[in-house]
Amino acid sequence: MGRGAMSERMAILPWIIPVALVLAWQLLVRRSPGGHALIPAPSEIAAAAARLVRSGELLHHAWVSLQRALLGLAIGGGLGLFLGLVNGYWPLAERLLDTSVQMVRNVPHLALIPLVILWFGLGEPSKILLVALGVLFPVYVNTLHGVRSIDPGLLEMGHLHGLGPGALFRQIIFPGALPSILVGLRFALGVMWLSLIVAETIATDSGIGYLAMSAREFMQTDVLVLSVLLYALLGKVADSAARLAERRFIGWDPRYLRSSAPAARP
Amino acid sequence: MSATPGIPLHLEAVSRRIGSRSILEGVHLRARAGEFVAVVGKSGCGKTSLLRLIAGLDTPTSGVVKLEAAGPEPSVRGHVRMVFQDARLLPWRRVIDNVGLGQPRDETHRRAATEALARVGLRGRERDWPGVLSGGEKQRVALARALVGRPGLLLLDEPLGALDAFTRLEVQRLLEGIWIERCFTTVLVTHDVQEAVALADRVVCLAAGRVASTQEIDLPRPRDRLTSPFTSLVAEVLDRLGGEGGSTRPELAVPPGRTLTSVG
Repeated sequence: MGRGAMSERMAILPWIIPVALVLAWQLLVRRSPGGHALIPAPSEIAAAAARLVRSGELLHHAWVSLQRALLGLAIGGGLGLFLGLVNGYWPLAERLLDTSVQMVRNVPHLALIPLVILWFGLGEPSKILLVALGVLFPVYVNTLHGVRSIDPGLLEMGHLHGLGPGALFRQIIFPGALPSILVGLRFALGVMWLSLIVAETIATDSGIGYLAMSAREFMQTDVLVLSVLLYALLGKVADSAARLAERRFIGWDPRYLRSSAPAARP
Repeated sequence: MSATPGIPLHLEAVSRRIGSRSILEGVHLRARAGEFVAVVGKSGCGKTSLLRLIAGLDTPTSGVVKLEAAGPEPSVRGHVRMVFQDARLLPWRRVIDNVGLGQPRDETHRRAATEALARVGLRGRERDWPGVLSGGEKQRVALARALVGRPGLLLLDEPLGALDAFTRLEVQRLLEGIWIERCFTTVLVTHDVQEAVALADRVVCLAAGRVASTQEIDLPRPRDRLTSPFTSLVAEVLDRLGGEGGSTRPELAVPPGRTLTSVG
């Protein structure tokens, strides 16, 4: 059936619509009289990108944003993971903590921006805190759900085979909760960029958000659109990384087994 | 590796209640070292509860469960293995690692796990994920996992209940062969009277949480299911099970004065 050619064609499939859109965009802007000032053509954006890459600004700002995003994710996600595991496994901890967590969860974290700026100023901590707050809850909720949904029969079986608490956690609880944790991670990645964008546009002196805001002041629409595209690109990269992690860590899942089985054969 | 000798089992007046509901009432049961005991009964009669008590997964409300082996209790418990109706394999570990669960991860134990898999007829499937196995294969992996630690007492909770008739017969033969070879004590809980008579030295009929009757099965092995002694034994056990007043409700099957409701 020519599975190789088929899968190559399938690889192109997701990119057909974006490429067609960009081409249409270029043509429309080129043809419209005097529309250039507000809507830059893709070629102009590419030129702006080349200019900023050469001056080193693009890389600098993207790197700063990425650092903030990952640091926030590590802090918030780590805390969410810890709380989810503890509360999922230990009913007493859940009784003690879950109500408080749920109350904090229901405050839209972006509403805290004015307060965070007052308390932490315009420096790095305020942005990282906002990202951490944003990613904490999707990770927490999904981790908790993951631990809860582990078949108690498996725990019983592990117990019968003489597994202690540590081994039970490593061999049954954590791997059992992992698919759900990874779903939480993918949600968290979305929230991570959202929080960062908002935080960077309101108060910052570096990062992609800063690039966009200063471009607005000088009516550089090409740089503005470029920064939006940068967010899209970074978001896509993060999501792909999460998908890769899913394939790597839950390859045992029958759903993955089915889709990856033909590819695994020579 | 030395085989663990069969662990003799002794249950004395074991009862279990959940709330005000009586699951087991004064059950006495003995199994000699290396004996194969089958427990049969209708669903809800307390078979599985009995097995869970023996496994130490639950504790009796009153009475004692004794595993009478040399050595202190915790180390004896380490030689008890159980196979459940659902295979309870860890889907995120390969077949070989499922079999080696709870064992040190070294070459000796890995080889033992490979051997156990070969013994249940799954040679070459070590690197498979449990997700791709059939129901019968999963149960064989569960059996291999129970056998690899050289158990002295093997508890089987309707391990073949979910299998089709052909696969069931096949796994029964396999089980009997391994039991003869290794001499561990076995308690098999099943609702299949034929299976019980085919495999067990003794069949215990459980009804409404009590031992209703016991039937020694003194037929040569392997047992031919078409001979008349076999079929008449099956008929006898079935008759005793059906003869329990036809009731599965304990308060009706138990004589007055001995039910829980009259205690309080």
